[in-house]
Amino acid sequence: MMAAQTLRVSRFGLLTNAGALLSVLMCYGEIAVIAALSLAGIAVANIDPHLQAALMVGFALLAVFGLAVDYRHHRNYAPMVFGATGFAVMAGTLYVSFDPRAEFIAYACLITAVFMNQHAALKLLTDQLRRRSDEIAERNKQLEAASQHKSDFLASMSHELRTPLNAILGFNEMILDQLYGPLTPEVRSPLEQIQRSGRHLLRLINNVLDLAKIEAGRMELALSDYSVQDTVESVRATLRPIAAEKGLELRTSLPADIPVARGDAGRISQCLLNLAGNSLKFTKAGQVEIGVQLVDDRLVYRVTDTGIGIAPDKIGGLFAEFNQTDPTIASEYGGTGLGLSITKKFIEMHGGRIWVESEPGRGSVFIFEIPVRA
Amino acid sequence: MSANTILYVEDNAVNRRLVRDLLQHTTYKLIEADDGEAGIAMALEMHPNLILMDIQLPKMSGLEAIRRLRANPVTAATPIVAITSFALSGDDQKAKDAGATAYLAKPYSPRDLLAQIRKLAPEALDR
Repeated sequence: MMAAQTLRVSRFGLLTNAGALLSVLMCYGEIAVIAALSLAGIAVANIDPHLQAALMVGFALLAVFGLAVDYRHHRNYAPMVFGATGFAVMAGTLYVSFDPRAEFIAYACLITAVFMNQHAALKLLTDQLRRRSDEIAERNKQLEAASQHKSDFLASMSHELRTPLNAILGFNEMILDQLYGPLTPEVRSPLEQIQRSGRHLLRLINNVLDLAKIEAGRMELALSDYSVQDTVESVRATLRPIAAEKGLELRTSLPADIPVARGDAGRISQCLLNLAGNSLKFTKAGQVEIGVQLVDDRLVYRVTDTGIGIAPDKIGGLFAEFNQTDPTIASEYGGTGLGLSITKKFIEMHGGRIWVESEPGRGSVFIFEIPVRA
Repeated sequence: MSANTILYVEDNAVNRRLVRDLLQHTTYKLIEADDGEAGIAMALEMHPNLILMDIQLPKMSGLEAIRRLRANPVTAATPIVAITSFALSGDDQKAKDAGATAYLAKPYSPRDLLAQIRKLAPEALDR
């Protein structure tokens, strides 16, 4: 009788300990330990009914004490842990009564105890998760504010940087125009370099400002009806001198029946200037073509060149900020490293997308499509 | 006919000198003010033929100054060139809405500025 009882006690102990272990695994701190101890205690108590009473009281006290200590953090699930402990104690008591009728209820009590423990543990876990996600949300808010602050700073800096540049470029231009007297050829050349570098600096500042505004979510498109033909033609007119200087052909190709489109013409020509300007920069011989096609209700702009092309592994990062495919490119070809990133953002703001097809050594095609009416 | 008078409202002394130097060899007569309020006072007193108005000004913004000049019969028809700071950012539209005749983004090319001035207030040839 006693041997069989011990076996059953062991089985019972295993069960209870498994439940307790789960609780320990699923939560942390005193509550799990107390629950585990109370359940383990039942198993021990089964061996000696006299020891049982003492342990029951001890564990119950421990549980209450632990809950009292933890109350501030754990008040949401304290009743459950306390109840689970109570059920576990009851299960043990009934079990050691050796009354076969009590056994069923003892198991029921045990299952209830384990269930309540799990429930408490889950609740604790959920609460922890909620607290953590609240913390993350708060942190995100702080980061957003910091990012906004950064963008504001960049925007005001860009403005401040332009004021002295106005004087530098302006006075230099007037000196070059010989407003202050005749210029010797030796002086003209460095002055022209000042003008070129100043304009480059201005482009950089403009791009940084644009990007800062886009990132701060304060860039708005000025939508209006515009002529695709006029836009493309003005881009060609702007870039023609650069193409001529390099001996490149700059062509446009668009059907005459393209309807009046709606979008931010200023931004679209900025995108085309960026793309075609890049093409001219990276093409030593041959031609650059700006083409437009109407496909359903979308305008497909294509800037094709016969330039150095882009290696397949460089295409992925092409539209990231300050990412020229090769650091030496900046020194040889100039550029701000921001043009493509800004272009992509403007096209996306129009509800469009941009991509590139290229073969190193043969040339590149930058393609973007935007709705005819954005 | 007396020389065309041009009022330049700009708080930055270096930029004012730039325009002063630019107009030195022309027949234009330049008068200057360094904030919006002073600009309005000078415009009403001197009746310039053209006003160059910087948008970012202390005390009263250039946009507000343009609105007030437009509301006054004395200066309602005077051509005003707004000098905006942010190219392509909608400032040009704001300047037009306020009543500017034309706008020029800063940094401006003195060459372009002079062309704009000559267009809106043709230089008197008979000085």
